[in-house]
Amino acid sequence: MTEIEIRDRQEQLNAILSSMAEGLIAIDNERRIILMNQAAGILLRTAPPEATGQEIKQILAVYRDNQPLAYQDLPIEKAITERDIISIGLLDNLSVKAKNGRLFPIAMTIAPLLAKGEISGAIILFRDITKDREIDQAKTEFVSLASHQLKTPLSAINWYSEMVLEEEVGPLNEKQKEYLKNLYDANRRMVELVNSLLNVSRIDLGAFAVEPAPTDFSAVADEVLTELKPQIGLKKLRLDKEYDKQVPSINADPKLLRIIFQNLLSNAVKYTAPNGVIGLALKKEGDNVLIRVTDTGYGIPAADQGKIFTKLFRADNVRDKEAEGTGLGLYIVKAVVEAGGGRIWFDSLEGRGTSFFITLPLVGMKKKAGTRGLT
Amino acid sequence: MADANTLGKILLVEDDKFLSVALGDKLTREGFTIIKAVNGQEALAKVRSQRPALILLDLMMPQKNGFEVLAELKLDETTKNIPVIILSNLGQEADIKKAKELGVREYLVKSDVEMKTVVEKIKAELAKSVNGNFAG
Repeated sequence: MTEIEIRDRQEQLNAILSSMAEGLIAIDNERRIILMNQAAGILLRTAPPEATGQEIKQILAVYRDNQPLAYQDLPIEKAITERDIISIGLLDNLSVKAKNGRLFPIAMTIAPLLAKGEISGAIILFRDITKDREIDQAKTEFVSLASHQLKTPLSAINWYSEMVLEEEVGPLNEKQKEYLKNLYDANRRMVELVNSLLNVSRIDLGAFAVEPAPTDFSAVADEVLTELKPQIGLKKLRLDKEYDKQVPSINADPKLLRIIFQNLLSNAVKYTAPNGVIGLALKKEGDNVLIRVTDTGYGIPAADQGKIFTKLFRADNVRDKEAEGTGLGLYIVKAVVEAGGGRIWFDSLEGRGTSFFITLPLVGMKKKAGTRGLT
Repeated sequence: MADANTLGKILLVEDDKFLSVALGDKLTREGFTIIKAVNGQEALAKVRSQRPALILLDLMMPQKNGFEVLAELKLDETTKNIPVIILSNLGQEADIKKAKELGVREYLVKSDVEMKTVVEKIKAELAKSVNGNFAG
């Protein structure tokens, strides 16, 4: 290649880079910027020559839920060390703060930069997804509005079937009673589903409030267990309770705590065969309260374990057994636990059972103002 | 103060026809006298002309919502002591708080409450307000 050809080629590559609509940043093994294109400069309000040579963390300020994200939590290192291409999308909820202070949501792809088989850094490609975010928000608001509208006719079905079932307008024969009871129960499930959808939309809108108040964990748990008593009795399940007396009253949002217990315990009951055992333990562990919900139920197949906190996901082995689940419960629980500053994880073996573990800090949940609460 | 012959008179404020019929039928069978209104404006007019012993009030309604009705009832000496039970599908903490600040003692969420509970709550509120009036 002649010098002129090399220069032409160089100009062509520069033209491609500066015409791209996505922001592109290349970094070396020292995590310093070796190249930044025009679009990246415009998005970050930083001139590319000014950025070159600087550490990536000085230039690309990433936020999650309006909190700065520590550099090690960014998957850049993962891309480099594991030679993996990492995609970050709408659901990851990441934003970038430009030099002028503007925070905008981003999607990004991080790929290891390979030269002669050796990793010499990474390439970061990103774009502003404000529009996508708006569409997603409109979708969520629609779900919220539609769910709410469903409540009126559902209330009507509830009330009319209740009055007929109570034989207020005349006697029923046994079959009629049975059918009406099924109608009534199915409608109650629909109300629960609508309530779950509303909760999910509030979570997705980031609009739910955390309102801590001194809360006795065991009292909330017992309340939920009392509600589940009929189902526990029907399946002849044994219930093992283990409440550590050392667990103090904690500044937690009782409604959120209720959602946690309700979902985990009703799952344990629902997904355990008759004559099985379910357990609930509350313990003080260091600076946390540990909630452990165990069952000897169907378990979560290994292949599904990575997905069970995903919205609308249901494991294969329970789809056939239990028609009732919505795939929303654990998604809601995880969001609630994390909003309360806690952690959730599980151990499960298919055919043997599942244990869910949740820790919540003894210092309590942080108050979070929100336009809506969960119900 | 409610006089004796209005004790069993309930103003049912509900804009959904099916829910209004369900509640009206149920409460009539329970022995109450029912007056109905389908919006906030009509509700206020009927409170003044009919003097109900209790108001069962929806919140989301055309021509003055339930909160506006509550605020106006509170301003009027002759209506501010009439017990109000909210029966709405708005169940948010903020809504409940707002209603309680406007003097509501009982707040029920339609889709979560059984009819027999609605009846129990009405009876309990009426019993309280009778006692309250005697005491006062």
